[in-house]
Amino acid sequence: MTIRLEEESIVFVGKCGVEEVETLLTLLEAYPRSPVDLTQAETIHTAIWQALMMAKSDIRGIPSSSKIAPMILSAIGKNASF
Amino acid sequence: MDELMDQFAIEARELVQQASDDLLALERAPTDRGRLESAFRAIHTLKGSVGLFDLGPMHEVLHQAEELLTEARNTTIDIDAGFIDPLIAVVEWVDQCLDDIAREGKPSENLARQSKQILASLHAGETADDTPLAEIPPETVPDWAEAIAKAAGIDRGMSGAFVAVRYEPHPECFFSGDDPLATLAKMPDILHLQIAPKEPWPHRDNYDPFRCNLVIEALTAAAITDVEAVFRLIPDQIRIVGLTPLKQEKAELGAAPEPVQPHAQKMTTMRVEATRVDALLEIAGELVTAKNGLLPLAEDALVATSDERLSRRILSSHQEIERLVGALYSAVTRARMVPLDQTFRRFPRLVRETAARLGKSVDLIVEGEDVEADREIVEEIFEPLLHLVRNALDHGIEEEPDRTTSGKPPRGSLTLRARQRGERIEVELRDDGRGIEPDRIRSAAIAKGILSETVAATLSDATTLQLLFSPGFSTASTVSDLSGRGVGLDAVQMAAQRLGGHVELASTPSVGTVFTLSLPISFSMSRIMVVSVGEERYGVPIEGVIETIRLSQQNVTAVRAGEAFVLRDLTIPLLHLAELLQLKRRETLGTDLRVLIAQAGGERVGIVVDAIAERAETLLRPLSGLLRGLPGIAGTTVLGDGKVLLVLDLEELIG
Repeated sequence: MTIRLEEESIVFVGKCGVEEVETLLTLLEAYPRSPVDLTQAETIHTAIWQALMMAKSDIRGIPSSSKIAPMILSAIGKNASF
Repeated sequence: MDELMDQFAIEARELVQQASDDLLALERAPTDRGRLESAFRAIHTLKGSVGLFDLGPMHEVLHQAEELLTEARNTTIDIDAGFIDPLIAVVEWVDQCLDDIAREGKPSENLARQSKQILASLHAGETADDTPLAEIPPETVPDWAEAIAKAAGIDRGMSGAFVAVRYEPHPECFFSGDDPLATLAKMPDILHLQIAPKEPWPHRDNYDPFRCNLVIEALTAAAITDVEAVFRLIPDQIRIVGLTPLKQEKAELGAAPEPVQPHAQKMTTMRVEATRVDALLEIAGELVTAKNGLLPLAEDALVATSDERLSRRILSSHQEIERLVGALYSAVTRARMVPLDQTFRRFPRLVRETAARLGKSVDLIVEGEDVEADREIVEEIFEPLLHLVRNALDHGIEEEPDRTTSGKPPRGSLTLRARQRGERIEVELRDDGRGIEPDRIRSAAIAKGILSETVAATLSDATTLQLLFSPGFSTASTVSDLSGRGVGLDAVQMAAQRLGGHVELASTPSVGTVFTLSLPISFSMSRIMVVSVGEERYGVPIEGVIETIRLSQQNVTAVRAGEAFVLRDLTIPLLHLAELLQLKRRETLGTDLRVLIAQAGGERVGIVVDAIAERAETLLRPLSGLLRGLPGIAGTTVLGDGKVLLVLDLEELIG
C-alpha cells in the first residue's frame, strides 16, 4: 500500500498510482481531518492530485523527487482553501 | 523540506528587496509603469512562495497588497503617499516576518497581531477610481493565455518568448493510461501552473475519482516545438499558444531600466553558495604557495645531480604552473565579484525611514551601483556606509526651515556614488547639508588636548578635517554638539583600513560634506614571513619588516623598564613578540636572539621571535565575525598545510 494511515496522518509513500485513489477517498472520508503527508511520495498520479484538490485536504510536505509537485501544490492550493 | 524553506528564505529576501526598491522608485516617479509592474511581480511571486508554507497571516497580507497593486495596474488611481506607505509597511512587516522565520520557523505572535493593522491600512489605501487605462490594442492571443501570463507575473513587454498551454484532459483519460500532470511535467522550463476544476466539484457522494475534471494551464519558457512534442499524442486536448514579446514602447525618459528578465537570468547565472567559491579561492591561494616550492627544488636538483637539464625542466614547469595558478587565481577572484548594488540597495529604505524619524525630507541618489568588487568588501562596506549615512542625515542635512533660510531646496539631497579607479573602488557619500567649519574642529582639538594652539594654527583646513577620524575625537560629545561629525568616524576609518582602504573627507561650510571611501576591488596576494613564538606561529607582512638579525644576548642593554640594543650606531628598542601577544616569554639563556627589525610610527623597533620559518605569498583576508575586534591582527591566511595563520599588524601591536 502506498497510501495508508499512520498515526492520524494519511501518508503517501513511493509511487502513488491511479489505483490508489479509492483507498485515498476511503481514508479521507473516514478521517476527514487527517493531514495528508506527501513527504515520502515519489510520484503522484493526476487522479490522486484531483482527489486531494476536491477534498481540500490539509497537505503536509512535498514529494522530494518530483520537480513539478511544488507547482501543483501551489496551483491546487489556490483553488482549495485560499 | 528544510531545503525548500532555505530556498524560500533566500528568494523571499530578494523579492522583498525588489518590491521595496520598486516602491521607493515609484514614490519618486509615480508614472513609472515598469516599476509598478516589477513591484507587482515581486509581491505576486512572494505570495506564491508563501502559499507553499503555513506562515500564518503572511499570505493574506501579501494577497491584499497584490490586490492593491493590481488595481493600480488596471486603473489610474493616484500613486501617492497614501498608496505607497501601506505597501512599504507591508514590505517591512514581511521583512520582519522573514527574520522570525529564520529564527523560529514562523512569524512571531506579535507580528501576527500587527497583520490586522497592516490589512486595515491596505484597505484604506484602496481609494478606488475605476477609470480603466487606455484600451489595450486587440490581440490574437486568447484571453486564457493572456491571463496565465499575467498570473505568472510575465509582462509581455518583456523580451523573450513564452508558450502558454491549456490542457483539458479527456474525462476518460485515466482509463487510457494517461497521467496528465506527469505528461505536462515533461515540458521543460515551466514557469507557472494553474489547475482548476472543469466543472464545479460534485458532492462527495457523486464524485467519480476516475473521471478527469481538470483544466490545466501552464506557462513555459521552452521552445514551442519542444512543447508540441510533449503533447503530440493528444492534440485534441491541448492548446498551445506562443507569446511573442510585444513591441516595447519607448521607456519614459529617466525611467529605471527594466529588471533583468528572470528566465534569461536563469540561463546565464547560477546561485553558488559563497563558501564554495571561498574554498576555491583558498585552494588557489594555497597553490600559489605550493608552486613556490618548485624554485628551491630546481636549485636542489642542480646541486644534487649537476644535471642542468633537469633543473631547467623543473624551472620551466614552475613557470607553466605559475601562469596557470595566476589564471586560476584571477578567475576565482572574478567569481567572487558582486555588484555594489547588493549593499547600496539597502539604503533607500533606510534613508527614508531615518529621515522620516528625524522629520527631514531627503532624496537619496544612488549611482554606480553596478560597479563590482569582492563579495566580502561589498558586504563589509555596509556598516561604515551606514554610519556615514546616519551621520549625514542626523547632523549634515539641516532641518527644512534652516535650508529654506539659506536658500537651499527644502528637500535635502544625499548622493551615494561608486566608481572604479584602476584596481580600487571609490564610494562617495555627498550631502548638501551644513558642512563642517574647520575652525570649530581646531578649537575642539585644542580643547581636547590633541593639538597645541600653535600647531593648530599651522594646519590647513583639509588636514584639520581629517582630525575627525582620529580616535581622540571618536567619543567626544563636545564634537557631536559642535558639528555633529566625529562620533564614530574613527570606527569608519578602521573599518576601511581593515579592508585595505581608507576614508577621506572634504567639506565646505554651508554647502555640504563629501566622504570618500577608497577600497581595493579584491584582496590581493601579499608576502608574509612566518615566525614562531613558543608553540604558536604567526604571519608578519614582509613590507613591515626591514631586516632580520641575530642578536647576541650580551648586546642587549636594559633601559628603564625595557630593553634596547645598538644596530649600526642606532639605538633600537627591543620588544618581545611573546609579551606583545601576552604569551609566556621563553627564557633562552646564552643563545642568540632572532630579531625582526620593523618600522613602526617612523621609528625602528626590534622584535624578538623564537624562530623565523618560511616566507610565503598568500592571500590575506580581513578578520570577520568574532575575530573582528582583535587588535594587532591584520587578517588571516591559509597556509599550504591547510592551517589558518593569524597575520599580525606589527604597527598596531607595538603602538
